[in-house]
Amino acid sequence: MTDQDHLYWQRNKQYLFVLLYIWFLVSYGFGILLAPALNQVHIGGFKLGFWFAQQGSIYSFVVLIFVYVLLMNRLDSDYESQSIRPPTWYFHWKSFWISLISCGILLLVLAKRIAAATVNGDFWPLILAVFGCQVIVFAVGFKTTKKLKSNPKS
Amino acid sequence: MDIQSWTYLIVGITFILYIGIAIWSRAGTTGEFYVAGGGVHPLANGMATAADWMSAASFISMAGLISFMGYDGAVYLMGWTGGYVLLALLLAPYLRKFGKFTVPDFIGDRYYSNVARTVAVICALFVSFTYVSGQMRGVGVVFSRFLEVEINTGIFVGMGIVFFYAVLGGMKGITYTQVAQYCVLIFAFMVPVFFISIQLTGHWLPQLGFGSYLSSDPSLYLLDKLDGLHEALGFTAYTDGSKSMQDVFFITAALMVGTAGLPHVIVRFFTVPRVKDARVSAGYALFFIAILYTTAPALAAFARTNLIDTVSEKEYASMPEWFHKWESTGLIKYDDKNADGKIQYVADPTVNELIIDRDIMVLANPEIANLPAWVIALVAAGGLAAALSTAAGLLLVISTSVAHDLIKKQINPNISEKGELLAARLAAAVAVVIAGYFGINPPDFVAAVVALAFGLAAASFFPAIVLGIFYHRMNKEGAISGMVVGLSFMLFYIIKFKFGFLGGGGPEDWWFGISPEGFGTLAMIVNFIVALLVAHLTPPPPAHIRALVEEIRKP
Repeated sequence: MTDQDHLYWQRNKQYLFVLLYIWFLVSYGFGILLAPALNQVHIGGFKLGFWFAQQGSIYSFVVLIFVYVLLMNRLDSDYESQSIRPPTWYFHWKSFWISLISCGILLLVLAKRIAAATVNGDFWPLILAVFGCQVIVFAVGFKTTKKLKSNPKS
Repeated sequence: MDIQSWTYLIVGITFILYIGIAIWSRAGTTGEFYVAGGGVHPLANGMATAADWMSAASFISMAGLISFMGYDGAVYLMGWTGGYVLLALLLAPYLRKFGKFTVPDFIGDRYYSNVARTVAVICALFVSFTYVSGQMRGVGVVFSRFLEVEINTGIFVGMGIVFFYAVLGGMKGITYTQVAQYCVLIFAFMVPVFFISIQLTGHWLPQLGFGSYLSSDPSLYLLDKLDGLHEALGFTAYTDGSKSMQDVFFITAALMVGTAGLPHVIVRFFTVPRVKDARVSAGYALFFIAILYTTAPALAAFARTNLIDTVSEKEYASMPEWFHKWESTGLIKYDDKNADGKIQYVADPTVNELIIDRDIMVLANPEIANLPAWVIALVAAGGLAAALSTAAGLLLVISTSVAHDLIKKQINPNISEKGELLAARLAAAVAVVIAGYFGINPPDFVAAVVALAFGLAAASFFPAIVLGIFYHRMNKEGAISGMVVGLSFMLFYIIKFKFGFLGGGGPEDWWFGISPEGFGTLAMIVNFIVALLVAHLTPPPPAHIRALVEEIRKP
């Protein structure tokens, strides 16, 4: 593989990561996990969580695919002119997966307690759990390019 | 003209159209038969994919299902659209770059093993047969309701039409008929909803009307009214739902991943000329699907409001004509338990007097809204288009799996191009007959196996393909053991909780509160874990496989 091949794949994975994160957020996040909390907000006749579950997530999916198409077409033409630049950030996949899986298990263990609080109208444990996990995963997985040089294999 | 003559006219015209397209675009080579020669325009492929994907269930049953489930209906809405994001980002471009004919082709070559290929063929055949029998049944049901013929006669007519264009035209014929079928079905679905949305809310666009004030009471939102009606009758509020959060989560995930793993959808991305086209045509496909899928929940809420307003606490004698018409088909059942002559429609089954089949919400919609006869005929043609297009796509997967993956790749590699084409046509013909048989004699467990089909696609294909692309260290031992374990895990759970063998058990025994419909997600996770573990304990794949993986990652 040439350098450009390598960079092409690196960039591609970054796009996938960001887009799939949004994909997860609008459907599983807003539409399911945070839906009871978002339902406190009304937009027109819709409760926001319900709207994301039955409308908003689908619109977002369509937009996500077309954004991906645009990004990749641009990347393809950069590749043709051999001018893809190295990314300024990257994910350390191993620590990312490990922290993601541990957070998932933690959430499953706490699920009953959080659900009980939510039924009583207290949404903070739910919101904290979901966003807390994200902060942990991002903090562990996110690396800047500086680290990339010292550890080029990842 | 009455409804029946309109129906004969419109259905007849659409059938002539499909046959005409089939004759114009018949396949001459195996490449044309399997993947339409790889020359389909991405926009056309998007429409064809949408028609391929939206089955009789999406068209006839989904809106009704949502209107009875309320918020919980979101599992179908998100599950059956979110899978396209996975498909567009993780699978379609790479499989197009790989550039063969089928999913078992990819699995067999990537994992350098005919065992892997055979496992994939078995999964593909199982998933496709499960699905196609449901579609044939759908054709029969639409015929019998609208044209008042026997269900079986309807199935024979449907078999004849599909036989004609699938066997003659292969993928090329199917693609262009599916484009026509998409246009018919989306027009048929949308027209009645526009009318109903204007009647109820004053907005012509149902997606907006859904969240608007009622025209009958301009200070009350439609959804607030519906929540109020539900609570007054003892149901859960429409926008709340009654499934547990983790079950909704798991079902949505299983349907998404299952969608991305269904072979008749994946194979559509082999038909476009370039990788670029595969990406954008996934976008078009989801756009065309989203038109129906964002309208369906609006329709569900409109229909539910209309229904409760029309029947609740009203005199049975004053019911409109459509009520009695659908009562005679057995889809509406009324039993005056307290003999007061009024209809009590409530959540409590000991007091409730009315049972309504969910399919009515779409089929009877035009009548409930008093729309003209030609609109009702249009709905019949739309239902048929949805069922026929999906059936044809699945039959093609079956015939390709047999002719290409079994005969050409394993039994007789020296078969001539002509011989292979003939084998593919014969396999398609046999598959039509088997599908028709299952349509006429539906096994009792159809509903249970649909959950199984999605679970299987999620638990077998998806991890094998994704790991094959994104993890070059994945070897045949890992992939095969992952597929086999995922599959058996899924089978075990379905057999235990859907069929009641192996000890059976009710919802309280479900693992982590996950219903069998959502178990595909867990089986998929198990597949991933087993595949990764085994791959690390066995030797890495040979050098030429590494080269293959690097090749499909390049633009």
